[in-house]
Amino acid sequence: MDNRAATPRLELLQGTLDMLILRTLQWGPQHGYAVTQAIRARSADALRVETGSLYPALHRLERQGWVKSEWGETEARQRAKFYRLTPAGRSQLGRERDRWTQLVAAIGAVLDPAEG
Amino acid sequence: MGPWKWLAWRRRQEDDLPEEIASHLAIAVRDRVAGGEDEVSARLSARKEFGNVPLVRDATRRAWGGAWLDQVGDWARDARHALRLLVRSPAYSLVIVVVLALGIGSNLVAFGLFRSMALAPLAGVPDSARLQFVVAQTTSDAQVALPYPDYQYLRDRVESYEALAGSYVQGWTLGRGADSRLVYGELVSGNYFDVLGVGAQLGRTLRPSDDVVRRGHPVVVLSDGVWRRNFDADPAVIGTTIEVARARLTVVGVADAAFHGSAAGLDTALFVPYAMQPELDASDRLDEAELPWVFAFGRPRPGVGVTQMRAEAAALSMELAREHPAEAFARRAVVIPIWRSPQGAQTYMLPAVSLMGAMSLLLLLVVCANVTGLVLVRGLGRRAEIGVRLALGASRGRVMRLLLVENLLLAVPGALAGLWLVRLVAPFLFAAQPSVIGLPLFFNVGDAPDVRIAVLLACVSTLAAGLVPALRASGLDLASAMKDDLAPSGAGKNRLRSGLVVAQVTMALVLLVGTALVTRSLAYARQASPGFDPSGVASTWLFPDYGGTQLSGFYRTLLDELRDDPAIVAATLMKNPLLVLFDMNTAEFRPEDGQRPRDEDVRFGLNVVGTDYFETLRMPLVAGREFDGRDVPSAERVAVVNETLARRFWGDPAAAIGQRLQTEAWGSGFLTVVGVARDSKYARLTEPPRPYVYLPHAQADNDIMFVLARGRSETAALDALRRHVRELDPTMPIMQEGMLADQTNMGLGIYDITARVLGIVGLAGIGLMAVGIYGLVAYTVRQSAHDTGIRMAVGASRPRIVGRFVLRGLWLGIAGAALGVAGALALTRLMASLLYGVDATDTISFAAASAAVLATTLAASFVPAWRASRTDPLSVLRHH
Repeated sequence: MDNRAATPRLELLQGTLDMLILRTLQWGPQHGYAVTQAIRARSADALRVETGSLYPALHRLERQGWVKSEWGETEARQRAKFYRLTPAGRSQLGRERDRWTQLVAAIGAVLDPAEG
Repeated sequence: MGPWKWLAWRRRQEDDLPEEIASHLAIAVRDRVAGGEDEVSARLSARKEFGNVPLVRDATRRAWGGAWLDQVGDWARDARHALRLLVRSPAYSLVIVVVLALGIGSNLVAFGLFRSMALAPLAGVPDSARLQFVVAQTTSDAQVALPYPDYQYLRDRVESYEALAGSYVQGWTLGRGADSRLVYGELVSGNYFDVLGVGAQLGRTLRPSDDVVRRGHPVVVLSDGVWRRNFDADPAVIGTTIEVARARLTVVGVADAAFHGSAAGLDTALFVPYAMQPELDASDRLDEAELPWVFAFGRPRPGVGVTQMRAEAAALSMELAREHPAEAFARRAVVIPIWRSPQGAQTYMLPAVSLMGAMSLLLLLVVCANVTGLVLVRGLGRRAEIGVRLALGASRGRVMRLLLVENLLLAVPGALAGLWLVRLVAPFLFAAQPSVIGLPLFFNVGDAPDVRIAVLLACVSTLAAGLVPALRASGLDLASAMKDDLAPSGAGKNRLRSGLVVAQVTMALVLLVGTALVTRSLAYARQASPGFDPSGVASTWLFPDYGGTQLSGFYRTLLDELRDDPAIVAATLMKNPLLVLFDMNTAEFRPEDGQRPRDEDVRFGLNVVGTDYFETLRMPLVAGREFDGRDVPSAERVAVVNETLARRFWGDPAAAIGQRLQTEAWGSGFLTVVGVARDSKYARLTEPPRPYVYLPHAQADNDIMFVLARGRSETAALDALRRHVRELDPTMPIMQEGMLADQTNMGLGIYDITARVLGIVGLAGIGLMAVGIYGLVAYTVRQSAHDTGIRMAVGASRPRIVGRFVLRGLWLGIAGAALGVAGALALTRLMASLLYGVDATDTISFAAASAAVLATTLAASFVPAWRASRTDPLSVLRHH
């Protein structure tokens, strides 16, 4: 068996997937598979993005102009579609990060009022 | 992303998606192999991790937006598919298109006529259906025009109207002398064109300032028609002087090309202000309080309802009656919509037009039933295909859509064919537009049939016709469908199809009965005796340039010379033409004794006639004498009345002789009754007997008259008539030369159109019915080919086989005919007002229609049955 059972899986909050994808693409253009792998690796296996969510999200982001896709080749010479962050996507990421920080702070304040 | 960029992006995504997914899987496998897994398990686990590929694909597609685009694509795909199928079965498609075209075509004609009578009665007048007329209602509820003083009174006071205009149709000579022509024009109020909203294509129209001073505005506006016919469409006509009814008028403009006057169904050519009436008629009659000759009309002020207009008219007419109590004219002004206005043809055309509309709708139902039957049969042939679709997971809605799209596709060519059909038959229906004594009838049927109506009717009928078959086909039982098994489950569907055929027979019979009744009425009317004998009588209408004693001398000499001519049997004069659908003159007549109710309607039709009138028209008098040389202007004023009037006032024709009638007609005074004439028809053949008065020409009128001459032969009478007029006065304007019988038949012209339209509808109905029966029997034959094969193999004779199938068709025919007779009995009563000489339950019409339906049934079922008997039993059995 794989380690799925061992690591508790977290459900992604509504709207956070877009932010995670944009963040992942900040390090450079990636194809879809690499995006899932990156999210999985950075979350220490806690976040797994289903393809049924990944591709709709990628395509939605492209439609909104935040990412741009291009066919290219992987190091192993496999043809793949690479997604690149656009300047608009970069500022969108900034906005979403700010919102997320505020959200986390607010929730934290509710959960732990003593500190406030 | 702009819409165009988005569409392009969307298409690119559609192309890329499969490869993107494949590449994802390939990378995942490579990744796993690199991690040490073997190729096969890597493939499996990568696939497993990826999940359901179609689901991912669909979810991704949804992210593109524009799901409706996929719908459009689906529809387009369905349409392409359906189109292919339809092209592959051209016979089926063609039959449906033709069937649709028949139904749509006849409805377009009926709708066009209905539109011309009720929805847009006046050509070239924006929103003419909203015009409200003000007419005078007599105590017997007849609606007549207003006297001019009453019109003026109302015009200056009404507040519910934006403005109140008025008009009255008149026959005038155009030009002078022998070359002058008879044209019909309108006396119009100064605000006439403003109220109608009609402009001038050349020069100007009339203005209120053109209708102020009596005899002070010698101006005329021409219609487009008379400008083209009589003035060669010459723009230089503006400013020239023309002669209208002997008055010299300056042409100030030509009205808009589409405009045909304010009398629906009629075509008027000249528009002259009321102020010029004294010049046109040789005497000023505008102040006569008893002379009905203004049809007043206008548009309601915004926000004003009909009730308010009616109340206002009633209040004003009461005031008017208070101010002028002496006048006997029943002053009750009522407001009526244009489609009920007595000015124009709509009141006598609407019943006929409604009948045509009803019949056409019935025909459309036949069409729907017919198409339904065709689609059902075709659906059976496609059970296997539909079964496969359902088995592959197509939803019921999806299959229904596919089938309905197929029907809708036929709607467009059906509508086009219907439009084309109308164009084809319209000349035949309308080109010979009849005229009544030179007054052309004109129906505002528009230049082209209404495309929107055609498409709407086509879509509605194809969808209606496709719905039941589509419901059935999409709900079919998969197992039996896949087995291509036609017979066992066919019973229920056969019942439906038989029902459809019976319905078609029923409706076809109703249509045929209606057609037969109208056709027979027309035939009766043509031969009917109107109470006088017009055959062999030549007639001509004289419009003399002069009057007075010179004219009476002319008429006297003319009659004397005609009577001396050996070719002529009898000759006379007559003021008002006969059987032209309306009364040209009416007047009030009261018996001298005055013992009548005050509010009795004593306004009767009248005619001014010469000596020997009753002899010339072979109308024997019931009592007394007819007019003769004694009845001169200086003698006692006399009258001949008809039987109905004599009975109403004095109880008995003989008692009427010597009685006196008080009247205002041609001078206030008393008339002594010297004769009683038999009742006859005066305006229409279908009118009930009604009171009527004849006045002698010598004492009443001295103007435009018809000269009638009964000759030994028709041509002799016509020749003699023309020759004597010309010898006496070479420049006398002669109009409407012809035989009296032809003139009195002109009033039947409008019924001609009805009979022709209904004839076509009836034929179409029985034709469709034949197609329906043929289709059903042919299908039954095909369905029971196996059975027939066995029967023939065991020795059934061909006549037996034929009889078997013919009987099946015939049963449906008989059932339908029985229902049709019942339906027709219930429905034809509604058309009683259109019938003449036949009952609504006329046996011959019913018998003829039933015979036609049954004979057609027989023929339509015989053909496929005969074919069934030609089948080779061996080949059929081998096939199964």
